[in-house]
Amino acid sequence: MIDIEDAFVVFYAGTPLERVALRGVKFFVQDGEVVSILGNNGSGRSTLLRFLAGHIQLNFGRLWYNKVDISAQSLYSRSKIVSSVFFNNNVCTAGSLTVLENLILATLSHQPKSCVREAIRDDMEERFYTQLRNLNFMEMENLLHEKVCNIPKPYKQVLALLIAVIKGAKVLVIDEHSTGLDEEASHALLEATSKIIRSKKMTTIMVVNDPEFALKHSDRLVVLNYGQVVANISGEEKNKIKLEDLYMMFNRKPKIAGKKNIS
Amino acid sequence: MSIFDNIFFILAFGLAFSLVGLGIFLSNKVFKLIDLTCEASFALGGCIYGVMVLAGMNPLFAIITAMFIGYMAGAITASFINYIKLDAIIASLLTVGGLQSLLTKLVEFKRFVPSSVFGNLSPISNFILALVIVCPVVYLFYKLMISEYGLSMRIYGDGEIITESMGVDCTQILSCGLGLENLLFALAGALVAQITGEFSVNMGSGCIIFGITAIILGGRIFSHVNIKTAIIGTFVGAICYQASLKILVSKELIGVGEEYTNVVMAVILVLLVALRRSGYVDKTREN
Repeated sequence: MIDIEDAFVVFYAGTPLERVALRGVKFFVQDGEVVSILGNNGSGRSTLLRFLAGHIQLNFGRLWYNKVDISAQSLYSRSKIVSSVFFNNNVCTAGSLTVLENLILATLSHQPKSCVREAIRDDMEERFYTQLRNLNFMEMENLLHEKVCNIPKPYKQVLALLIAVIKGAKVLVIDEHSTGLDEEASHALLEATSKIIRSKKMTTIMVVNDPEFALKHSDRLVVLNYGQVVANISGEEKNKIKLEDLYMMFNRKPKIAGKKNIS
Repeated sequence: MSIFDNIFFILAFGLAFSLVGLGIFLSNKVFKLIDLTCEASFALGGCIYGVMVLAGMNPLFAIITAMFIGYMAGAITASFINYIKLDAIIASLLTVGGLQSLLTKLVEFKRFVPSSVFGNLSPISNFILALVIVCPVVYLFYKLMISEYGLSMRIYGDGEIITESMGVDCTQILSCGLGLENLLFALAGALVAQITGEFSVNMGSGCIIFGITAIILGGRIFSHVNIKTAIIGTFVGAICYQASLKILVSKELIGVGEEYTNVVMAVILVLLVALRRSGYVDKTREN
């Protein structure tokens, strides 16, 4: 479904500050698969996800979605396919609007918007109240009329997940969304995440700071180092692997450390 | 002028300037960018209206033309931001520069036409005219802001990434928004030209300061808890501010003189902000 082919991302190309973040990342994700990207800090995990979400463009390489090349798409068209839940939640929820307004906007995404019809209607409010109550996440339904910039972080991340679901995005990109939360909230958030992913059968590419969770909940593990894939584990192999072996892989040297000439 | 005439004159002026408050509300609070085009489009509205009425055309047609050209001015700034990726301030400075020279040319026409058609309405009928035009505009503005389209406008202030991720086309929403803002300014300019009976190239200077002060003052009167109170607050704040400003500067009342208008405006803004920072005025949360 998603095919990443020789992805190169270079920051400040052609200057003394040049930094190659991704050097030819290549892997394939099937429909409905949950993929965890693992690696040390600075291995290019976040860059990979930001490029998948459409926030940055590739310098070289291709991204295929259902055999269509979407690597040059703008963020606007990319967001039809991909939705993101990032550590920095300013890029996945609108802080100055209320929770309800965020959810309503998500239902209208990529659709013509009426200048006359009121956005906040009673039926909408009822619908989202029920939806949040069914989700059963730390009594989130009571925060419907709070501004997003004023609510605690775990709620923002759940809101971003819900926006992705309501938008009907096929691919979900998650970047360390449970970082910086206390144990209880982090646990609840990860539970809610896996519940949503599994029930909607979304193709998910995620970075979580908890390798145990990654091992338990994902179908494929991709380990990055120096901006290259050093391990791609799935199926039987993934079921057998132990946590210690996984940590060992983080420091594995990539096979070709050479730098491709980028024009 | 009698005292009644003065009151109606001030109220009509305040109504016209409430549109300035709403325009600044749209660009500074909703889109969260600084659009300097408004000073030029205010003068543009006034001058186009003035020149067209002096040339003997239908005033209603003149107002609609002024609004349309104001919309175009905003759309030009928006296209600089959208397609050339300029910063909002630089983009609007470019538009202002271009429009100023056009305006100077436009105002030269004034010499060749008689100036008798102008300013022949009494202050009371001016007030009624302003009321008839401004109130529906404010109502429509409010209706637009709470509609689905208004909601997608309000997300723009949170940054382009989230806007586009939510499936809102930044390009389209920005040109509509800035166009609408400058349309309001041009309408305000035309009304001011009608009420005072005069127009000039520099009539728009001080608009931004006026709008910002009106928003802050409105926030003191009605705290900005939601979009409805924010719009009502800005509307009322602009009228109150314009009234107090007129009283402070007009020599006929207690004022210091028209030439000190900008100084008085600056002092009021500084005092308002300083009082808020130091906590003399209660700190209700804004935004």
